[in-house]
Formats: sequence, structure tokens, C-alpha cells
Amino acid sequence: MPGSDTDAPSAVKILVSGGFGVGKTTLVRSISEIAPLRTEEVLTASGADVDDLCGIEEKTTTTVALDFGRITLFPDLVLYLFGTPGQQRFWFMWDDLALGALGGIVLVDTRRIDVSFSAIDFFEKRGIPFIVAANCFDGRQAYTAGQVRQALALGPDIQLHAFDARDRVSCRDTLRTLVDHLVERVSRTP
Amino acid sequence: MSEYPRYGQDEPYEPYPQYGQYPQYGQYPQSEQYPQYPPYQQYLRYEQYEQASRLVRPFTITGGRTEPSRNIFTLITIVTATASVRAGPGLQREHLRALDLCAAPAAVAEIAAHLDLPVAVTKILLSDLLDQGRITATAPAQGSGGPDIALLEKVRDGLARL
Repeated sequence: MPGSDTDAPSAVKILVSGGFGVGKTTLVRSISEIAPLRTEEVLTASGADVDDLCGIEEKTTTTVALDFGRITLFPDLVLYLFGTPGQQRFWFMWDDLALGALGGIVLVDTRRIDVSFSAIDFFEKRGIPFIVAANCFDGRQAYTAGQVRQALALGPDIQLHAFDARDRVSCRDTLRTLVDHLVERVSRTP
Repeated sequence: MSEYPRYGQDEPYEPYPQYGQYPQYGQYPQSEQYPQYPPYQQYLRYEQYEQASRLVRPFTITGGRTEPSRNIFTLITIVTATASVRAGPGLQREHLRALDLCAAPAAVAEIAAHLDLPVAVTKILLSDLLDQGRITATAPAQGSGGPDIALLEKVRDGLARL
């Protein structure tokens, strides 16, 4: 890489995804060493799925914002956590976001499981390994792990983890569960 | 430019432009000229304008460029300022702010967030600075080659220390 500097740390990233209001930003805020920052990108998509009777090719441009945080793991390695925007469909086209991600965490609120379906689709289509983390909103889970698995149609190889997004240690353990899963996955397929 | 740095000054003294060196009328950069207003039919509805102004205005900072000169920056490329030189030709206020923000190593996403500019615009500003040798860029630890077991184990060890 041009102008590369050996003193500067290099970075890795993990995506935190899920529907609107499932606790993505709460997780980032709990564990980040900085106050969560917000950045935005301009995405352009041809409106192929738009019903247009005029037959005019129309381009849709939209702004997508995401919140992210930082964890310095070692002086030479920094982990960034990106919370993907939940309610918009356009971030699926944000290549830079998916490229080079170690893995993903799909957050689900067991009372509204459907809002996280699209996040699971995204990781599966992009081939990004992920785990599912169920956020305990009232300090307890209303459903059993088996019920959540069935509702999300999760395969046996996808881990389901219960946690509390407001608790730093719980968030750290969720990240460790993901990275353990990633290490195991890579060592299993040489 | 004087031949010798003056005593007590780190940077060489830069004289004011002499007569004839100022730009003539019409030669000012586009951004300093009067805006060319479109005919009223082309104005956007208010809700469109609100969206479009957020999209279009940042690219006037880049002089209308929408692609960086070097396409090497990602969200988590770490950039670091190389020298303490804060002024120079062709640098805008946003370039200088970006330089300040990467005085300590920072990711492209962080700089974009602090500049309050879209990532695409920030990448263009940063590639300008890289072209001038004012910053260095460090690629993400995981390249396009897929997962790296040593890297994953390092991340695991780092999380265990938290």
C-alpha cells in the first residue's frame, strides 16, 4: 500500500446488525472506548424494483447513516464496531461496509423477531459469518432458545447467544462468542 | 520566498502575491464565483431539496469530483498525518481539519464523522492529502484474502483482556 506506515495500528471491524430499536447503538455505546460516532454515506441505486409506467430509468440516491465505536485491543490493532442502519434497505448495497468484516452479530428482540430477518439475509448473501444475539429487554427472555431458533429458521451451525446490550461485560462476552466461533470455523476448514 | 528561513521561524516566510499574481476576473475557483441559479422549473420541491442539499452540497468541497484519485481508502483504513505542516497551496479548510483529525492515527470513518461529511467526500479529501504526501494510510488488517487465523486469535486474545 502506498505511503504505508508501520507505526500506525491496523484495524479490523465487526458489524452489528438487526432491525430498528433492537439495541445496536446501545451495544456499541456499552463497549466502545469513545462515544459512538455517526457517519454517513451516499448510495446510488438504479430503481429497478420501482414500478415505473413511464419506462424511464431512474436512479435513486439516498443517504445512509451508521453509528460506530472503537476498541483498542493492542497498540497495533484496533477493532471498530459498526452498527448498520436498521430501518433502511439501501445499506445492503454499501460494499465498503461489508468488505473485510471479520463477522457480524445479528441482534434480535424476541418480542419482534421479524425486524431482524433482513439482517440475517444480508450476512448469508454476503457470506459473512455471524452469530445471533438475543437482547434481554426486561432482564429475561420471553422465549426459549429453541423457540427463537425456530422462529428465525436458524441452522444448527449458527450460534444463538442471550445478552444484555446495556451491560459492558455481557457485550464483551457476545463479541468473544463471535470471535470464538470465527476461530473455530477457520480451523475447521483448512 | 526568501532564500533563508528567518530567525525564530520554523517555516519559511511566504510573501504576499505581487501585482499581477492575483487571479484575474473569471479565473477565481468555481466555488468563489457567483452561483449559477437554475431556471425555476428545475427547483426541487421542499422535501426533495432537503434530501438533495445534504447530498449535493458536500461535493462542492471537492470541486465537483465524486471519485478519489486513488481508490485505496476503506471505512477502517487508518490514516496518520506525516508532518506538522499546516498550510500549503491547494488546501482547503476541510483538508486542514482532516489533517488535524489524523494527527493521531484515526480511521477514515472517524474523520468523516468529525468532519460531518459523507464518507465518499472524506475519501476524496484524504486522497488529495495522500497525493501530497501529507498523510500515510494503513490498510485494514484483514485483506480481501479472507479470514486469517492468526489475526482472529489476536482479536480473541485482545477481547479477553478487556
